[in-house]
Amino acid sequence: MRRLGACAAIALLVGPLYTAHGALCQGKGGQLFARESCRKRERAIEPGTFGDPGPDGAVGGQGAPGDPAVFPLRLVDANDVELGRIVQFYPSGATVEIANPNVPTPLVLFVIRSGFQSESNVGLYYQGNDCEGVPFFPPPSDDESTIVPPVARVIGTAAYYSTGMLQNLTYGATEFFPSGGAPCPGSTTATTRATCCSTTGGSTSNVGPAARVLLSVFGLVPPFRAVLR
Amino acid sequence: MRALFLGITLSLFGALGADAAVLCKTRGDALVARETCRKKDIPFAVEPGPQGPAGSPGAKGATGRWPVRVVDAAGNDVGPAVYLEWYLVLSGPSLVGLPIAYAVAQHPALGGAVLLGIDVQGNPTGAVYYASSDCTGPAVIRADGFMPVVEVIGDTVFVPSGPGAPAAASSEGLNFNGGCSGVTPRGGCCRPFTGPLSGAVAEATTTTLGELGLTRPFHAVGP
Repeated sequence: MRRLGACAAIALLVGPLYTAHGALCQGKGGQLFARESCRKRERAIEPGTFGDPGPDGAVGGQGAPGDPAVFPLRLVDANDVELGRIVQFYPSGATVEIANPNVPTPLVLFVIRSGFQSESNVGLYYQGNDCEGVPFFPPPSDDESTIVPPVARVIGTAAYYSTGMLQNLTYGATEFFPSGGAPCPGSTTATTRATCCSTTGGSTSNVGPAARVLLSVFGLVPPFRAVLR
Repeated sequence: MRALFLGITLSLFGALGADAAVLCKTRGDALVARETCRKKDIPFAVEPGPQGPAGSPGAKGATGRWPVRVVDAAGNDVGPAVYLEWYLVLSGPSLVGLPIAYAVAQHPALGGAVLLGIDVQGNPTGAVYYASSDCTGPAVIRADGFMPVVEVIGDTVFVPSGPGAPAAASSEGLNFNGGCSGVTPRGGCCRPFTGPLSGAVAEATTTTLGELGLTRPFHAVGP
């Protein structure tokens, strides 16, 4: 008995050396042999025949939480390029946060199926009388002022977003998009931004400075459409 | 030496499991595997194997489901609500908040994902247009949104069948009463349309709410 115990102890130490090649073979009389392969009259014994399996390992860790639900639709352009995060969605119009490496800040823009929709009831103001230089525009509505990043206004072929505080500006010219894209009225001149420039001169208005981003910078091609994620 | 050999064997395989065979120690201290031990044998027990390694972490959870849904009268899910506008409606002595909703519905008969409008009473919204003055002939529906919008008159569902184009209309069929000059074959209200019909419209194919497996009224449910 002691001999067997000692042998088993030694076996535990050296046993792993055989694990790569060992086969357990049973002779005719029931004796067991460890060989590279069993001989003709021996019977191979399946590993795991003797003894109970060890207990199950510990339960695996909890999986990572799933991603939070997102708005089920995304807006894409004619080339399937996603416009950006939808801020507000209506069946026929949406405000979307659009980011572009060429624009210093993401902008929230209103879009419809046919593309960016120019406002025709908002004017831009300039200190000079040629609609060049820094544009100024009226303060955003209360609704718009709560949206971050800034809501940009589309006027003609450019978007404008606020860059400073309101001030009483004595302006020399205003720029506007003619309703329905009509030709510029007689007393105004057409700009290169599909807008009209009106020299008014001398009046003041409470407006703030704005930055201009040409819509072509975004590279988005109408029509825009909504697709399921 | 033989015993050592057997010991090695046991260390290799003894912990792996038990089946029909058992290990028996003979009087000469040899170990043999038998169906059952003989009278003079002593059964030899092998220690159970070591505890297995810990399981791998579970898979990442599924992405969350959009929580606001539109369901029909039977509780069937119509789809996610992507537009909600709440109205306060006087119901007896109480003010009740009721939504106008647009849900994204999907069904083979709809040709893909479409928007289905729901009014404050839970009925699907519907407005279709006709070149004729009496709501007869081919119907067209608006098609100037971001995705197809179906219009429902009675049980009939009008599905845009192609790209939209400008068109003229002289009458409109609605699913509510208001200035009706007649009743459409589908039970809707027919009234003159003085237009112009702004935006693009598309010809429509039809299916029914029944075919879609939906029953009015609909309502929005949240988390």
